[in-house]
Amino acid sequence: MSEFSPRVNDANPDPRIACALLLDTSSSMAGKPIEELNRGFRLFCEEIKNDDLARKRAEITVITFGGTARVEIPFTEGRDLVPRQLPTSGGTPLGAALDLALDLLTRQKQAYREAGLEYYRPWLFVLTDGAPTDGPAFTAAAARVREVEAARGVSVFGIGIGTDANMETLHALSAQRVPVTLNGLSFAGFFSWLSASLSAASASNAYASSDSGIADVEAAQQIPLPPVGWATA
Amino acid sequence: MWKVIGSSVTGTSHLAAGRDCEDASAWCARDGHVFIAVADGAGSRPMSRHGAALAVREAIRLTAEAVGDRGADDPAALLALVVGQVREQVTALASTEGQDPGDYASTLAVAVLAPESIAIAQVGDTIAVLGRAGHYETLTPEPHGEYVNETTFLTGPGPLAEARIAVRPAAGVDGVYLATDGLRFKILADLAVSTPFTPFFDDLTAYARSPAASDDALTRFLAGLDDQSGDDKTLVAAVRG
Repeated sequence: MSEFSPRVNDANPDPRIACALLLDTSSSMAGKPIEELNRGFRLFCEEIKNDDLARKRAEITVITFGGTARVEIPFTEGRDLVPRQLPTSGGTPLGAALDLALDLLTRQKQAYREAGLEYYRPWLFVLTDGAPTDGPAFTAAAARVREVEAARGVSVFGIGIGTDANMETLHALSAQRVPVTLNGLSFAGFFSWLSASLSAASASNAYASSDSGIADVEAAQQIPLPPVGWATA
Repeated sequence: MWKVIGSSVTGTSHLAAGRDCEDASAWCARDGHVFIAVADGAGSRPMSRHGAALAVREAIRLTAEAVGDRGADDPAALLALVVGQVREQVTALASTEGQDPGDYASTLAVAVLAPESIAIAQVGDTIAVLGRAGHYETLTPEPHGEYVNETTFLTGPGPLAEARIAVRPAAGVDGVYLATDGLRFKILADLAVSTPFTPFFDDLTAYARSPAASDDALTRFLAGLDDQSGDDKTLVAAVRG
């Protein structure tokens, strides 16, 4: 039997929703929390591939902050996302991680515009079980996040893990969305919701070719996100 | 001598919605000529797959008959006539069934491969490419409307669409390819100007010429292709053997 497998145009013309996941991997996350986080992310990598639109439209980056802020996974289309085991170490340089995320998001949007791709308002998720250990850097980065948010350049989702999570820190990141506390270690629930939310967003038409264009289309339609069963406000 | 392979497969979004394949394709060789047709039934119209099936069948039959009667000296005029006749056939079917002709809406591309010339008529957003290794041309792509999903159909609704007809000398053409728009993201290089994605047509030509080439393998390729459209997909390739 002779198979036909020609070269085809692999460019992806779909509008994109950039999603940055800022994950706390400081040493306080060691043990059960990081295990559950890793398990949840593995499930997410499978679930995102099951949605015909989200697998092509959602582009995910993972930035960890444990000791240092670093890009664990650069922006990757959902269909190509491969899980990796995240280790824990050191303090909680959330400010540095936020700066890194905003730089990446800015670059990513620039790349979309240059490629003639339309995009949704990017999502920024911050998951932490403590408080930032880079105070001044955090204060400046938080102000920068709020500024971008005010310009409709990003949607910010703050999620506290456990009783030691400093919710004030997360409050400081957004004037539009109240942070929530994860129920126990239900990372699997969170990631399943994230996958469903990216599916819902991908199925909506809330995209445009610029941030101001997005503000206009969002005024006409809200992306209906599924209910949050994995957290408490 | 031309060798033809072709296939139509149901798109993933049609499968998910429990809809049938609304694309159709047909081809035949007669009197030293090869005739090819593809059609894409309008997704929003209830009887469109019957309209598409009738359109390709009648396009092949009428074109082959006309060439048999009068030869292919003026293929553009011949195709213009045939497209009009196919439209009448579809309208007549709708009338017999007591339906609106628009319910049978489909696009249509029909090609006549004559010894001296290649002529292709298109209505709607079909894709027609011809050429030889490394050099391919998309013939009369549909001008872009204001909206992405807008196209014209053989039977309306709205004013009857004129066929876009192109004729090229047969010399130097080693392959003629008709496709429906479900393949546009994968086989075109630049959607804005509809240029062919050359590596695909090189590979398709080489494959279609190989002795083992089969419609079944083409079907498997189309069914497994992540086409980014979810639409039905049809591809017919005629290559010089």
